[in-house]
Amino acid sequence: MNHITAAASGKAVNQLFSEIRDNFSFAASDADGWGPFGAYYGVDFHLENGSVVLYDDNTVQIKELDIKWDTLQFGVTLDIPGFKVGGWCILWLPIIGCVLEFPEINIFGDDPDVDIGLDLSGLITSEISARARPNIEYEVGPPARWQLYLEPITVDLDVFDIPDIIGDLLEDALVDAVGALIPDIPIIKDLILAILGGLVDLVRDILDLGDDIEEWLSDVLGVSLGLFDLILTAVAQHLLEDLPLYELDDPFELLGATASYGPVKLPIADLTAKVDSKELVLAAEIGAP
Amino acid sequence: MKAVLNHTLFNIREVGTDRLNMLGVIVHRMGKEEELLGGRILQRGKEVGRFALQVTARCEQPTCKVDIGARRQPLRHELQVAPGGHVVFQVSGSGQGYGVQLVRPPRDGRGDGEADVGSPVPVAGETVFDSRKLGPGDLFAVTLVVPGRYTVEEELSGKRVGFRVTRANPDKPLRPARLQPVEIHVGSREITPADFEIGCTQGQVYAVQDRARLRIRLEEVDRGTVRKDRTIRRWTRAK
Repeated sequence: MNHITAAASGKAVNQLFSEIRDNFSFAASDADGWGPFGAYYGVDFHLENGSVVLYDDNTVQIKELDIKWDTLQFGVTLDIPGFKVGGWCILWLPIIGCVLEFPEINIFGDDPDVDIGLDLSGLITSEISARARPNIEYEVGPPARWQLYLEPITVDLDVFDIPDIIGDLLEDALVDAVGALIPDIPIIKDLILAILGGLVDLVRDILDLGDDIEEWLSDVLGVSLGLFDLILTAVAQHLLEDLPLYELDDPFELLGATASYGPVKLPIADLTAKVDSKELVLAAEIGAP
Repeated sequence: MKAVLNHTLFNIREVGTDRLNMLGVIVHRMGKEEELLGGRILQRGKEVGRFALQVTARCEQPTCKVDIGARRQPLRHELQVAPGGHVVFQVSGSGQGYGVQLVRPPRDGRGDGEADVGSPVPVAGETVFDSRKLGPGDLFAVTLVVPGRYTVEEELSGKRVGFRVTRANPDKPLRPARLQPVEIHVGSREITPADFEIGCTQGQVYAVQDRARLRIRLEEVDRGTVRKDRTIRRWTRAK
């Protein structure tokens, strides 16, 4: 039998949730490479806005929770191969084919590498949504307390809204970087440009870029570098473990201490939570757990 | 950002059969006999290294590359080529002015030239190959990267012809390894073709028909002008 029942309206739940949201922050960095191409990121963000909607199936929907990127540094590194002369066939035999090639000579000492970093902090917007259900945990303390968490069922990160300008920024930066490798000496510049067959095409080939920069960037950041999973895991863990939506001390202090008497405390034997479309209901039983 | 230009490649002004550098290689076909030959590496006429080359039917490689610009030269048994195979003398580093000789030591009773690893490289005996005097069948392969006007001279006879290396076209993709080389015949009376034109990095193969010592010299650089234009394709959002 429930001895104490308390309810929070949707508005109240939203206010409680704002505490969780405002106490979340995330920072990470990583890098990886695939053949001649590598990518790295450094991110730091907090959450803003968003709302909680209650449903009759004992779940809540966290909607339009904005990721505010305090830092979103993205970079690519390239080892540019193919700056070689020679390699042509000196001696060719019927049936066998080429049996002797002229040695290849590097135009550069080694395959040159370029490192391009872009600050995308103010350019990219993204948001998180989640479906969750109430989950009660008991913290043995001290102090002992009952805690209400939102246990995520699903957490989704909406695909970045990546403006077209990022494609141009990335491409311009790469082309300038590769172009800077080439000495401004006509005989050398002409030769290297001819071997490259066009800087942009080379860069596109190495990066495996298609026409859609949004898809490419999402793929590199989200899939190749695993940033999206990292964000989703961090948000889910924050909801599930880091900060409760509500907590109740056990024993619960019914009356505070006075000069003559000590505080009046009630032990809470059990606490349950249930959600419907109107409110979040907490029910407690008094007694030793 | 890192990129160190191979300055040697663009600063070399001449290459010859007795002045080898990274721009030229010599291809010499070995005889049918199994034998152990001694090699002498010369730089500007002075001996700077030795190596041994074993011609043996146990070797399945039809070609053997000898980097005569390397500091450490291969010891006996490390260089092998099949009888009738080709030996390539090349310089991989930035050194210049190399030449090479092969000598056949006097027979010592062991017949096929087999010798112990580590024993002295034979350097005395009959000279069977000398890059200062290539013989019939030898090839001198060259690739040139600096555009301009060149001359090639056969120094034993004094015959000389000119040719031109054209500038690379930045708007036309260049695949150096796929270019067909030009074959030039070096006979006792003439070098043909004369006054030819080749593309930048395009190979030249000088096929020696008699005796020859070849020297190719850059006479005048085609400096041209710097091109500033470039075209950038832009991304568009996928529909």
